[in-house]
Amino acid sequence: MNADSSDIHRLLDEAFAGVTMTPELQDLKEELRGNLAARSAELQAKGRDAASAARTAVAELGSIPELIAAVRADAGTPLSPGAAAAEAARLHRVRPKPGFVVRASVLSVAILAFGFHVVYDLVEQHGAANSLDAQLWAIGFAVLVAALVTDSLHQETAQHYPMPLFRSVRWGLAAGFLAAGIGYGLFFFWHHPPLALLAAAIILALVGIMVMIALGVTQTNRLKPWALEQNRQYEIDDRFSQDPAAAARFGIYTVIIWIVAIALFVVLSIAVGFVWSWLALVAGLVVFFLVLTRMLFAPTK
Amino acid sequence: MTPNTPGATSRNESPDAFASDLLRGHTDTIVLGVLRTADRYGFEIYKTIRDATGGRYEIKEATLYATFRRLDKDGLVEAYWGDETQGGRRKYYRITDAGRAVYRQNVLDWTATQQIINTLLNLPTTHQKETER
Repeated sequence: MNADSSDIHRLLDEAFAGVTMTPELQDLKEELRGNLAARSAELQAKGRDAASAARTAVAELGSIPELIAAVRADAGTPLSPGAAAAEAARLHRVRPKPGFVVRASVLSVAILAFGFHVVYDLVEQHGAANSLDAQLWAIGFAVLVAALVTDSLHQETAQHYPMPLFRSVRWGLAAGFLAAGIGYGLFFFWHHPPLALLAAAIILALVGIMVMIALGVTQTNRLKPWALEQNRQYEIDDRFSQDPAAAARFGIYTVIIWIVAIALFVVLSIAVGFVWSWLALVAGLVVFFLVLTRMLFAPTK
Repeated sequence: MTPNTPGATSRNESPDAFASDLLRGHTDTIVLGVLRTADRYGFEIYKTIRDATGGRYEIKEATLYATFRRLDKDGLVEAYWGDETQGGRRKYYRITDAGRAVYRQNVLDWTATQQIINTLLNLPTTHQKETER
């Protein structure tokens, strides 16, 4: 019915010609389109040609102008912007895909199981913590976290369009790296294994954080049109969209903070050792977030 | 409003117009009843009703759209879009718990009304199981 529904599109456009479209009418038009296509397909299955099937389907429907008038009358009292946005969101409700719900549940249970096993290895199996087996459980944990994050971000929700697959995969990888980094860090503090493990933990966590920062900074607004409209109505634009100069200043501050933090880290690693040098990175992160908060939510003059 | 096929099963000798009027008053309940078993989109609901009555009763599709909107507004059904990519997305309707409650109540009301009318018209009750006092 794909190629054959062009007649329906044309007839529908004719019926709606000259009508000022509102979200409700757009909704009605799309609903009619789907139903007419189904009726036309049924007629074509009985041997009718596409054009006459479409005409019959539209004729059987009844008076489209009356339908339009009825929808107009329903929407007689103009809604407040918030109520209108809520109405639009309700009209465009997206059903969670059953497959996703199942995947998310299974992944969550698996993450819990792997997480418990990792903690068990850490706390109870002192000797086994460095074993290949324990590491495999930890890696499995990180991979599952990555999968769950990727899958969740790639879903269309009532408020957001789905994130492109590649971007959600990168978010997932970043989350996985971070989870692995934290896991390795915990190994280190419990059991004091070779420093290489701590270095690995810091590198993993850093890569995760860096990728997340990069993704966060380049994130575009993927809200749906009515949600954007709502945002405009409430004028809750963030500081950086209102003042690009502030965003540029923040970018420069970020570079400076991280250069200083990483330089400190290297110097401390050589001078004092890994036991203390990682604090430089934590300090860098803290300063970074303080600056971000300060610049994003500047007190109004 | 297709002409009445000379049906052997037609228990009702009243003119077709009367039956249609009577049926139209129960459109909401009929739609709720159709949605009780599965989520369906507009044409599917129309088709189910058409086929269930053997084509003897056709609700105007335009009437159905008004019904959908009213039921949706009253919270008796909720709508969502399917993810068909070709030939137009379909808007599905799902019955809510409130909708099921209203459906049950309306069925009870109808059964009671039917008994009263049958009694008043001196007809035997249609459901043999139900004993009359």
